[in-house]
Amino acid sequence: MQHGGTSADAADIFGEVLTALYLQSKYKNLKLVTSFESVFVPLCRRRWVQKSGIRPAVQMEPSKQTPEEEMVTRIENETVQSEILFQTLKKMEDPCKEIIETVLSGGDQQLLAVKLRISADYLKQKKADCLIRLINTSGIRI
Amino acid sequence: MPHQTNQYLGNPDMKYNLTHIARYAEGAMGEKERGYFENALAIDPHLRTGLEQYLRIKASLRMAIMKDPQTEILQETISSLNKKYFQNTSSILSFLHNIFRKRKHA
Repeated sequence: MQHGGTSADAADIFGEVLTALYLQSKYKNLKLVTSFESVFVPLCRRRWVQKSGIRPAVQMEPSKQTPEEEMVTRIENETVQSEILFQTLKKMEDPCKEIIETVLSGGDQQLLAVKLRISADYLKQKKADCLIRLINTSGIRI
Repeated sequence: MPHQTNQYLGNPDMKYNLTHIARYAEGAMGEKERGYFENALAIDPHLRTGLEQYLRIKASLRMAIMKDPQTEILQETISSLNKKYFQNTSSILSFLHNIFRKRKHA
């Protein structure tokens, strides 16, 4: 097949990019400033290049990117960031893992505090500590 | 891997770092400390950028954690569409051809 890969790879990329766009619109308030195709196609292409090991085209400096390219780059970076954070979270131990999962998935924080036998105020402090630990462990820089 | 907890963010006179940003964002600051922090936010663009980045990271993580029914429905739909359209080699080649044709023109 042209540029390597299998039909399963192509199907995976198609699904991954569609899901990434859906999640971005739902949780990060993504609003397309251009046609769907002008974002979807470059994202598929970049994912394909990344998976197949093809030498990527020369990346332009952010300041030289068009608004469409900036959006594609941002979506791509945030999707990767999201995966890195999720993988780091999976390796964390409780109670941090449980605190982050419960809080970010909209779970009941009062119930969680009772379960952990800590006050609601202390849970807020623990939540901040755990998120800092997660960010530091993931290697993502602020 | 750099430990960023004490990484300086913003104006050197303010000494705010990631710990303060996280404590503020999670509602873990007391009233007085929160007031000082908000004053600093009002005048320090670097600190505001740090807070925005922290919130974006949290949103990225939430995006990965949330498994809402709509996402599952979307993934099932995509899976069934993939079976329909990606088993046919010519349609895959057409899909890839379109992608790389656009790349040449980009």
